[in-house]
Amino acid sequence: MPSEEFVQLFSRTQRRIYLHILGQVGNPTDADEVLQETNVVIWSKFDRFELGTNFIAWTFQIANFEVLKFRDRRRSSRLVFSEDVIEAIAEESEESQDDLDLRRAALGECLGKLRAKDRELIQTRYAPGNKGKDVADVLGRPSNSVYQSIGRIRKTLFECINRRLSAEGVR
Amino acid sequence: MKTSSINLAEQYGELIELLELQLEERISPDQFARLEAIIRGDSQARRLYLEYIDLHGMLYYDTAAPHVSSESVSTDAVATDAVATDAVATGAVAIETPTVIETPTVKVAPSSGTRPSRRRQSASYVPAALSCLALAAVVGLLAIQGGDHIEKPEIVERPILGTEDIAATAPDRLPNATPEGGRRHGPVQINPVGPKAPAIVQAGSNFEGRTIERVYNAWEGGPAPRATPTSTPHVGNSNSEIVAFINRRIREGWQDYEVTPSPTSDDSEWLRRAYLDIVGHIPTGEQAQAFLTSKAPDRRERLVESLLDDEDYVRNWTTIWTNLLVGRSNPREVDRPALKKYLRESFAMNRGWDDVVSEFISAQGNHKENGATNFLLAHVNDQALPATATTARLFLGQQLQCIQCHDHPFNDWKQKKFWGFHGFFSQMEVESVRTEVALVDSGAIPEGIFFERRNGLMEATDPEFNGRRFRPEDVNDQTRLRKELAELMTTGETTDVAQAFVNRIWQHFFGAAFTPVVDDMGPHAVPSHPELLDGLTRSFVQSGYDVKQLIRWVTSSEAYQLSSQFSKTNQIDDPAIGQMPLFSRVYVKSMTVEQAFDSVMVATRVGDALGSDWDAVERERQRIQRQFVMQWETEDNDEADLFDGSVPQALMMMNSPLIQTALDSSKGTYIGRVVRSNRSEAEKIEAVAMAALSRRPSAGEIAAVRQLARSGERHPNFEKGFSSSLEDLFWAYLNSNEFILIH
Repeated sequence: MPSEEFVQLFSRTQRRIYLHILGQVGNPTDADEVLQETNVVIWSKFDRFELGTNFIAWTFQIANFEVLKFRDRRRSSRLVFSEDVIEAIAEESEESQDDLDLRRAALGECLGKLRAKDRELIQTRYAPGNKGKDVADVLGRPSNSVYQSIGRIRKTLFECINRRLSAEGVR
Repeated sequence: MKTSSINLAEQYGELIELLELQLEERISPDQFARLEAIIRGDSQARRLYLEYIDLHGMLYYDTAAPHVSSESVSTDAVATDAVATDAVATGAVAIETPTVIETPTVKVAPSSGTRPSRRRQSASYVPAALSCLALAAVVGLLAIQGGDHIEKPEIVERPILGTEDIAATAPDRLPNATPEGGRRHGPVQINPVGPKAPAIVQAGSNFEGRTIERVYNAWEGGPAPRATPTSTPHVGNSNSEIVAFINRRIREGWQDYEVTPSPTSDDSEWLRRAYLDIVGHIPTGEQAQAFLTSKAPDRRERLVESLLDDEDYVRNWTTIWTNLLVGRSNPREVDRPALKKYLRESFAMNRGWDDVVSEFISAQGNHKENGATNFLLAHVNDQALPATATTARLFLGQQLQCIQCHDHPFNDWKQKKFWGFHGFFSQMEVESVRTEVALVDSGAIPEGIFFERRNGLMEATDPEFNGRRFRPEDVNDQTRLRKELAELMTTGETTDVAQAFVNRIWQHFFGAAFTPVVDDMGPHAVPSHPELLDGLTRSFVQSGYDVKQLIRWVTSSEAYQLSSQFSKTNQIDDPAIGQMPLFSRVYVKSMTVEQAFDSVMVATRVGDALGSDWDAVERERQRIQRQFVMQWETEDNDEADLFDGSVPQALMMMNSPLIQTALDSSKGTYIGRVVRSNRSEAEKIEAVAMAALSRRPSAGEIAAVRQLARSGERHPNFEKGFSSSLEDLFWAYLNSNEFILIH
């Protein structure tokens, strides 16, 4: 049985692993799939992990490998990155974890700064199972204008995070 | 942060657009190939790509969980203002997403200057019901007084048809529209103490190289080392001793810094302030009249007593705390009416603040039946981390949220402190069946609270607060960790709970807290008057956390009697520019949107005009408040500050058809009754001044109204011309800074 500590580590790092995978596969649902496969491996190898060593580094390795396996399965698709790009992204992601963590922490606050209706829109967009198209249907608005609004809100959030970080650049 | 400075639109515009297509799964294979090409050769682009998709992933993974605002209630802390404003300035501009819902009546103007200010709003007004012609007349007529202080009703033009960018012209057209939201007096915006002073104000433009601590948490020219009182101050037990203690400590500050306090405020300035501070709206004309004619030496104390007994006292503080606890935009799980009911009962019964806080922290049960549960329910998302952070901030005056992920850079708070505190909430669970939600303690206490250090290593702690640690062997099935925490937080001769509340009350009444940020009282934030804060906190604890008693002490203090106007002798006493407050005057505050709306209601008696159709009034209140919440939420998390109390915003509110009705003298309105009464001209003018500004009209104002009426400009018939001039005067008063500021 995995130790209590292992379980804690595992549950606390899920999101980071997920995001690490997402960068490489570029699509949330594909990332979900790869995460599941990664988790299976993590659980099957729990006894190989030494408590006290870097859990994230260990799981990222596993995830990277699973991404490449996924890439292989999808090789006929024209909407997946090439291997060299995937590897470059993985590397960039590993190096940027600290900054990305800070960005993630800033997101909540930036969401809070959205206008209520914008926040509502972004919540609808990201409600489980929804895509931009579904939001357009719900709102009965032309999908193009919805895409545009969502994009604008995302960019706003992105800029807000940038600003927060540069404001706190000393951290 | 290498990418932070990247200008999205320019350098990587194409990348972002391609990414947008990718995120919405609309990208074509060719476009995808282009995306790949961009990030293949350019590590900067790759980084940006990662950051962008990471944002997408976060939103997806957390499904845009209801945000828990970390609003810092810093109406007076320009330090945070400046920084926060800067931080989102561009955000705020871009947040104007015009496609979603129509009729954004006010929007944020792009700020192009070096110091982005959220006060630079542009406003587009809906047509005013009243004639535009009137404004020219009134402007000419009442531009009588100049001068340094706000005590002049500057006349603001009535809104003009169509849209118009006020921001572009504001400095000329709204001469005293207080660009800083009313926090400065008059035109004097110069740093009064020479080159070293305005560090905090400038922080927005250029604080690189400064530490965050400096920008956020330090008073400029603040007290030197006497951070913590060395001994327990002798305060005394009787109310008069406590007030004397406050006065003594405040006076010491005046002497140390060689300032002469402002003169005592006159009765009308003080009356209005006391009403707004205690019951949340201005007095009626009759109430003002009665107070101003009273000769009783203890009339101020008596007034405070009667206001504390007023039902609007309960309503006002319920509103304030509801907004603090769950924000104005209601999180999903929250039963707002139940929360308000709990608060109403607490304030009506004047329950001890320790009890109220304990209940919020340990509340269990159905959210409709036990209103107190709604506070934590609003913050249970994200593994209840926001519950931890918000509890610490609101009730302890400590901002723990940044030590969640790392040790505090400037003080000795460790990540462990956050997780130890967080541990007390680990038993808490939410049970929800359809619309019924309940907060319960499941009973299972985890063995150790694990958290991840920045280096990826895990560490464990136990629930721990103020040195009391609950190890696995210290707890059993009966242990209720939240109850234990509530107990720990509210036990002792002095507690952070009491201190945080005293600081907040002080800020509420004086317009500045003892610390630069009212709810950030950690070791890095040196209070301006440590002994006073400590002594008052102890007295508050001794009183049984008696909220009304604390308000009595504060409002009877010498400092609270002072005028808000400053002179040469106490110019340096200006926390708005980051100076440590000396309380040698009462700082000017902006009204909240609730205060502004309720005050307009009181002044105009809209309710009377509608034949006491209170539902209509309530609907209108909600409509107007929604308007402001939506529009100002974007700029600053300080929700209480959404409505910045500037004249343009007030004008927007005045454009409400409801209020227009109330301003029309032809109907059964207050102004209509005044016009038709048998009173003399002078008395009528006085009635209008009393209703709007709680003071007698100046000789100049009386003369101006008469002159306008006589000129025949408004109507050839003097009577009618006079009525119409009265309406104009009323309108002008309501649109003055004098009306919209608490001074």
